[in-house]
Amino acid sequence: MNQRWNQALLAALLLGQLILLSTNSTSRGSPLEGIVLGAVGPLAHAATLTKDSVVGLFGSFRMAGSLRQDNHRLRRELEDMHRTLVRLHGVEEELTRLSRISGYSRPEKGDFFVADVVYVDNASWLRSLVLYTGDAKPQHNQPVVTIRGLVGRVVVPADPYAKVLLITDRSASVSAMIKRTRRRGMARGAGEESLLLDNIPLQEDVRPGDEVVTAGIDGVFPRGIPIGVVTSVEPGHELFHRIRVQPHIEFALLDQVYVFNEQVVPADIKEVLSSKEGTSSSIIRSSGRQD
Amino acid sequence: MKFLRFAFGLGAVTLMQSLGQHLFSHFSLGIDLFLVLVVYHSLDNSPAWSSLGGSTVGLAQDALSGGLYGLHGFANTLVAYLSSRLQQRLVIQQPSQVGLLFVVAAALQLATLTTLQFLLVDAVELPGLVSMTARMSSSGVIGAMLFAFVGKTRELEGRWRARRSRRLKI
Repeated sequence: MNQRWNQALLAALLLGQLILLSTNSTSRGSPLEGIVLGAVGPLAHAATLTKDSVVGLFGSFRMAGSLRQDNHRLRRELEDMHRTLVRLHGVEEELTRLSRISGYSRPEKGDFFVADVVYVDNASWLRSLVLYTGDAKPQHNQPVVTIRGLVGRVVVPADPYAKVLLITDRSASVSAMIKRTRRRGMARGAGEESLLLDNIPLQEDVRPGDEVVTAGIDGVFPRGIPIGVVTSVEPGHELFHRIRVQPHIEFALLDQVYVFNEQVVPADIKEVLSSKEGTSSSIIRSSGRQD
Repeated sequence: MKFLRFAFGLGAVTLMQSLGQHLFSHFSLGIDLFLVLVVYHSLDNSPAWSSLGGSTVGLAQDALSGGLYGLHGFANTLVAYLSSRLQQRLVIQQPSQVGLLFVVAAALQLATLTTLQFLLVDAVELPGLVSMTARMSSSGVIGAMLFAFVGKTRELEGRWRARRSRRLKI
């Protein structure tokens, strides 16, 4: 192949990828990305299985001595959990009864499925996870959580794999509120495993240690999922605080997550809203800032 | 055969990078095996074939990592082409020279990624100095070791073949 052919091919490849770059965004992956993720996902999954079996083998030798104690402790914990569950069932029934009496209709609580983390990319400026969802079919914008709090949302579903944009990614944002005061703001990824909580006025009472949870008004994340804790409050530019939030999750250590099947705003209503120009559609898109 | 070897290399690198990431949470901050494959592949291939290889590896890496899809694809295509041209011009043979080429390639990839981010993304977070240094030096060391190992294996295989053919003549 001569030099001219080499340069023409290089130019074509670079141009093609520039077009690809300019047409996609981090909040919604391209179809090609889904196809490639489907192809390389099994290899990342195989690596997880290899690691699990190696760690499991060594772990079983190491932990053999403490198995009896662990068993005893776990049984006790299970009994405690069971008691809590029974109590919570009672509370739920009471809430349902009170809601019915007061005429308040609560949003339906959706289902969720468990997914394995097969790849974590926490390189300094790009933050994402790849999940193996098994039989469950992943969908765009599904919230991803763990028992400790919010992780992110699905941006590229490539059945049985899904790419998740972490809340700490600089292109991610979540409508959030301070649990103590119920004051709403916008939590956006600030990199380095932290978030910034925007749009909280200076006169608002915010203290380090305040719990931040999802506000449930962005059409993606249900209300009340823990996000993190306020670590610093400084006077920012203009009229707002500059609030830094430390997420509850240590993203590098994730191995299993829960993916919500719940649609906060039903798909048919979303379609109607997104077809109209106006405030309603911008609220729905506000969970993931478009690049 | 060449294609199969490349596909096997890509599979192995994906597996090793994923495994490394699972075992050490900050693995991808310091080591980029995809880049090692791109540069190694371009050492004994034409610039056209190298660019295609770089593009494929980059898109596979993009599928696993965050950010805009095509960032690594673009950067790795450029790195592969330039590495291949450099190899053709300078005829790099020594492991130390190869190591240096890998370091330069890693620096070029980081520079391209950062420039693309500046142009296409609102909020850019530059990679840390430690991470950049670690990536460049690890690419250099792994690349030089791989080159030396494959060279030695080929030499041993050549000797074995020569001995075998001599015996057959007798």
